[in-house]
Amino acid sequence: MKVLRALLPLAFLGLCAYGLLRISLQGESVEREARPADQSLAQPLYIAHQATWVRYGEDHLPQLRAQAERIDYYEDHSMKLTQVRLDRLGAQNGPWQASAPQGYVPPGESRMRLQPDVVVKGMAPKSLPTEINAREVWVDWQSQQLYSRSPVRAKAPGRSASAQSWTSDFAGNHVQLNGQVEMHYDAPPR
Amino acid sequence: PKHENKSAQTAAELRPSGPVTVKADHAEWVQDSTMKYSGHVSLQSDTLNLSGETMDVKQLADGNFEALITGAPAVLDHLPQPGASGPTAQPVHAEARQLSYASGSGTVTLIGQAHLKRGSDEVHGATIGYEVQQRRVRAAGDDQGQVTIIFTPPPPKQNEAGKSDEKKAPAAEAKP
Repeated sequence: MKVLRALLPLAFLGLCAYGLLRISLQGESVEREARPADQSLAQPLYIAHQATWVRYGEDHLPQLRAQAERIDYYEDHSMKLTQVRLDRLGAQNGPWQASAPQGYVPPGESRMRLQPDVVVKGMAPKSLPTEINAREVWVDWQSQQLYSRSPVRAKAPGRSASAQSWTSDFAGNHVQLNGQVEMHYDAPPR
Repeated sequence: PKHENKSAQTAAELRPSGPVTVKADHAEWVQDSTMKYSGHVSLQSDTLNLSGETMDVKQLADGNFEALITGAPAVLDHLPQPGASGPTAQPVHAEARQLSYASGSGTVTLIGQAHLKRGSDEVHGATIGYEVQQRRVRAAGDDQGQVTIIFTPPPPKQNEAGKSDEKKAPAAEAKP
C-alpha cells in the first residue's frame, strides 16, 4: 500500500507532462511545423546581400524601391533590411528619399519601419529642398505616406523646424508637422 | 520729437535683425513655400510678438516673409525699445480680427475692429497701420465709422512742494 501511495504523485506528474507535450506538439503541428516565433525570426528563409527590393502595385508599376546592404526575408513574410535606402516612393516616384541603418517590415503588414537615425530628403513640388531627421519613420505603401510619431527636426533653406510628429504623402503635396511646432526663419536680409 | 530726427536710418536698416520664431500646435507645408499654422500660434521677431489662432507665413524669394494672423482677436505686443525714452519706451498693445505683417516693409496692418494702445493713448479704427521699427501709427476708418484717437495729456509737472505748477506758473516764469 505504501509503495502505491509513493508512486501516485509520480504517475500524476507523468500524466501532466504527457498532456503539455501534446498541446505544444499540437501547437507545432497546427502551425504546421512552424518553429516558435523567436526561432523563426533568427532563421531567415533568404538572405540577400547588396540587394534591391521592389514592391509592385496592382497596376504592375513599381510602388517602392529599397536598396540595402543585406535583406533577411522570413517565412512569416517579415523582412529585416540593413543600411537601407528607399529611393523610389509611390508610382509617380515622389520627391522623397529615405535612408536608415535598419528597416523592418512586420509580418503581413504593408509598411516598413525605419530606425535610428532616419534621414528623409526631398523637394516637394514648388517647395524647398527639405531634410527631415527622426529616430523612427514608417513608410506605408498602403496609405502612400511617410510618418513619424516621434519628435522630428526639419530644415529647408532659410528655415528650420521641430515638432512632436510628422506626416507627408509620397507625392509631397501634404507635409504636416504636429505638436509643439516651432519654426525658425532666418533673419530677413538687410 | 528729437528721437525721430536721428541720422537718416532707412527702413531697411531698421528692419528686424534677429531670426523669427513661429510656434503653433500644427503646421502644414503648402506649396509655393507657404506654411499654414494653426492652434495657439505666435510669431516672435526681436521685441515684436504677434499671436492668434491661425497664421499663414509665405517666404519670399528675397528671404523676407509675409504673415497673416487671424484670431478672436489677433494680438500684437511690441515691447519697449531697451534703453529708449519717450514713446518708444512704452509698450504697444493692439488687437484686431487680422494682422498682416510684411517683414520687407517692417509694417503690421491691423484689419477689422482694430484698436491700439500705447501708454495711455488709444487709437480705434477699421484699419490701423503700425510701422514696427519707428513705432509709428497710421489709422483709417471706413464707411461705417471714423478713426477715434484718444490722447491723454501728460500729468502736469510737480514742483518741490509737490503741488501742481499750474497755479504758480506766473511765479515760475517770473524767476529767471
